[in-house]
Amino acid sequence: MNAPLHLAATLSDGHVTGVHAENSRPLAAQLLVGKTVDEAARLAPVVFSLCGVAQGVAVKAAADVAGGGSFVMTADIERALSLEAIKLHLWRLMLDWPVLFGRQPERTRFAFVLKRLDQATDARSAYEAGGAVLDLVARELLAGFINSLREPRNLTEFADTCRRSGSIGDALARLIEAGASDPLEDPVPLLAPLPASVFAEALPGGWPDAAYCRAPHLSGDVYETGPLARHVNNPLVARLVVQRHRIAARLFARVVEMSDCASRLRHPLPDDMPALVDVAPLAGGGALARIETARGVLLHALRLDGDTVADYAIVAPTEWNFRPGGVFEQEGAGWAATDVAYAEWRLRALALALDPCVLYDVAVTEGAVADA
Amino acid sequence: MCLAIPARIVEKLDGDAARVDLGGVRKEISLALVDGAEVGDYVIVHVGYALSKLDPEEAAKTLALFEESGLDLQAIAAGSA
Repeated sequence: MNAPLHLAATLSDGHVTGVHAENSRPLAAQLLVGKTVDEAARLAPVVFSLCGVAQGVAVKAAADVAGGGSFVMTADIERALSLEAIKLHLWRLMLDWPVLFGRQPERTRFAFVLKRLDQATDARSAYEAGGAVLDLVARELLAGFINSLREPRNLTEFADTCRRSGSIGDALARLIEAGASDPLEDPVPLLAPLPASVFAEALPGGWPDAAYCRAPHLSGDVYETGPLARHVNNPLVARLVVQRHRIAARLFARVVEMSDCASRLRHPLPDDMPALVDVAPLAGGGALARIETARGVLLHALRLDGDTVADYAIVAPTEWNFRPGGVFEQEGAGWAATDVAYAEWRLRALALALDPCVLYDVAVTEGAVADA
Repeated sequence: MCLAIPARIVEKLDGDAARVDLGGVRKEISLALVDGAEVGDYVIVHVGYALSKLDPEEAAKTLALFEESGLDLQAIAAGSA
């Protein structure tokens, strides 16, 4: 086993059971302990590769409040965070989802789009990049919906409408045609954007210790974080959820979120969207920064000794969704599968929809068959 | 969060592929997402793709930080790219 996130299950009597997410990646926030605030803010984006902008902002925001000051969100920060989120969403949509359906990753196209986005270096160019992203969303997913005068009457029409768009729409159509994906009568609740103070007040012992960082919860309850949790009120996303197509709903929510991010690029700090970042003081000293990232809520807890980081903890979105008893383990189990290959495919689709930020592998083993 | 160990390009292969040294582990990756990366350059790698180039001084500092930390660099490298 090489991947830091190992996803395993058993196929018994035609049903997937025993779904287990084994997360062995190191809790590396300690790398920042002993550094000055400036060093930590410089290191975080380099050390934590994927959402480096968010990690760097979180360090700075938590340090500002822990040091007795306040954190001031700016249009520049909002644009940088939105741009990073768009890139991460596009990574999944262009490189990873096509592979799930046996197609080649769209590397050349993704590289072209990345270069276009990297030109967004000021307010004006960010405005233009946001427009390009909105055009992409319209072409890739929403063209069929825009061109129709009425909403699809049923899921067959929904899938057909998706397919009339680009490759992302095609992936969504295929997911819908693969059948309902949610076996749970009582789904794992969705973690709507909440202020940092709510997390700070609910932290056991007032600090996210190693056990909490591995298996976060809110007042003892397990939640799903990510685009679905943020966009479940979108009518088309909600429709897929009601029809128990939660994997497809997550993919759709990701595209909806891209358009939100594009809007923030064009008009940062809007009054009608939740704040991307906020910070709350911790009862025992220090501060907790909350950032909504592409994968879900990211929490950074920090205590200072003068200008030096005395203690640090990071709670990443992957730990909410892939924790023991979390949404992957719950939603991954209990559904019917004809064979191991199909079971693995469905679990890969679920994992991709929940979007872990580390390499993962999926292994399904054949279990005992009950006597007839 | 995904840890990023700076990877040094040791060989360019066909197309946009390259072989990198990642904390002592050799991996084949794609350079499709970065411009002008050459043998000897350091890049940040995630799941098989170079994300960005890193200047050698920054790469050296980051590698030293990982080595001081006591984290298993080879295990992280094996699982992160």
